[in-house]
Amino acid sequence: MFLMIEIDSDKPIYMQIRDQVIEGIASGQLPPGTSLPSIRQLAADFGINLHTVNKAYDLLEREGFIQLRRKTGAVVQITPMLSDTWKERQRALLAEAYAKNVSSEEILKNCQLILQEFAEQHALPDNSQKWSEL
Amino acid sequence: MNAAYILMSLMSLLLVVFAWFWTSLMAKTLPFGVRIPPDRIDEPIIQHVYRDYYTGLIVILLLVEAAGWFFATSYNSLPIATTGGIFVTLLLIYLDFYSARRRIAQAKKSGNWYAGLRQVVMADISSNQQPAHISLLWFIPAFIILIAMIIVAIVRYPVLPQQLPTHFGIDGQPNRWTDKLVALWTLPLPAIFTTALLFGLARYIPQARQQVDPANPEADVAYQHELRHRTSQILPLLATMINLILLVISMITFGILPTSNVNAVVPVLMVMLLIVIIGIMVYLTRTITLRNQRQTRTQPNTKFVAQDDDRYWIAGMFYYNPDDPALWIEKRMGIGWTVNLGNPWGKVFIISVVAIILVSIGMRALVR
Repeated sequence: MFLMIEIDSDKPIYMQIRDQVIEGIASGQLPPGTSLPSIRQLAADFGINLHTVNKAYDLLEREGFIQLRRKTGAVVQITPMLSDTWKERQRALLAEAYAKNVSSEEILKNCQLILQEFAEQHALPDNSQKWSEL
Repeated sequence: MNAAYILMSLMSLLLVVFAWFWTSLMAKTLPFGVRIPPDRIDEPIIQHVYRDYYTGLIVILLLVEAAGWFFATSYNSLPIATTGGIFVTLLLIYLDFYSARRRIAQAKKSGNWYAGLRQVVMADISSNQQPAHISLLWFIPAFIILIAMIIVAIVRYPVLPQQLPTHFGIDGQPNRWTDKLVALWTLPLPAIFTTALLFGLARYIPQARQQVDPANPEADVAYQHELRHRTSQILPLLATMINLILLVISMITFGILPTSNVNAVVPVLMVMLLIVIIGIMVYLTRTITLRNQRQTRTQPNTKFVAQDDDRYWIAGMFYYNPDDPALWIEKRMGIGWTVNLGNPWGKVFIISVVAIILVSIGMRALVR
């Protein structure tokens, strides 16, 4: 699986890493038990500060997506509990669309499409990403 | 007209030829060390810059050859015609290169080539788990030859005369002699160093940083795997050949092969060395052209492009990025690695290299 970061993006790099790892888990590309590269390795691959990767991994661990291990790096391990802030963030996102007068049907349809996409990628045999469609 | 002038002409010619073919090692998205987005590789300005660079090289060659001829005939001045000629050639080639680089950088800046593109750094996190280590058993022949060399030195040491011939004239007669204790070390040491270096490289390469070109991630990953695999294959071969050459030299020096055979052995050694060098050149050029072909052949993903990393490259040559934990960085032009000057160990490395050079120059000056 590929991860990518935008150094000049407004979104902090650690959030970019976190979101992509979670998306990878959701779409089945990072099934439970998959090991992620060590903090040092990932930081070196991206050419970014160790603390940034550390922050992302820390957040992922606190939110219950990965388990940090001293020697081997990190392993995907999902605890069922959703994070406390998830509902808050969902609310804010939906409010954003609703405030702009996007109809409820369209919002729901969009949600459905995204969930469907995850399910479809799950079904792909080689877990390959389709970059051309991004 | 003398030998020095001919030598200088040949050296300058070689430098220019090298500067000419060196451009074919540049990735299409890195013309003269300036990062450009993949959809701009066919910009007319780049073709212009290439053409002017080649024209510049021809002018440099003619200029230097003419000046060298002038100094050699009118003043018969050896140092000016040789070292001066080579130095001036190098300087002019650099200026030619620098102006090409500057023009592309300016076109990129004024044309705002990166507008509307998302610059990303991409890494493959699945292949990192299993770095394709080559079997280090391939280094066994090199190690065996190395051990043989040390055994030869130790076994022959007591029976050798105090002074050994270490340098031979064109007539095959020794014209320089070395104390045998010095010879004992000076022959196996380079072999140990080169073997260790190549062995270290073969171990390090599979673990090196793996950044992926976001314009075409799958093809790039496949290419990088192939490159690493091939490089790890050629390294043990290289170590074996170098050690073999050094073994033959030490067998001559330590008197196992009679010195009367030197005339026959030296050409063989030269040919072996030449084969090694040509083999490496062919291998590297082939691999790089493969990369360039692949880059243009495949349909690039236009939304995401490799990050414009010019900001980390001082003068396009020195990498400085304190945030980057990597010590060794793949060069942008040519082949090999360079050191991250933003890394504390990188600073230590550069300072010690400069110190070693200064000390050895100082020592030479003192000895004289």
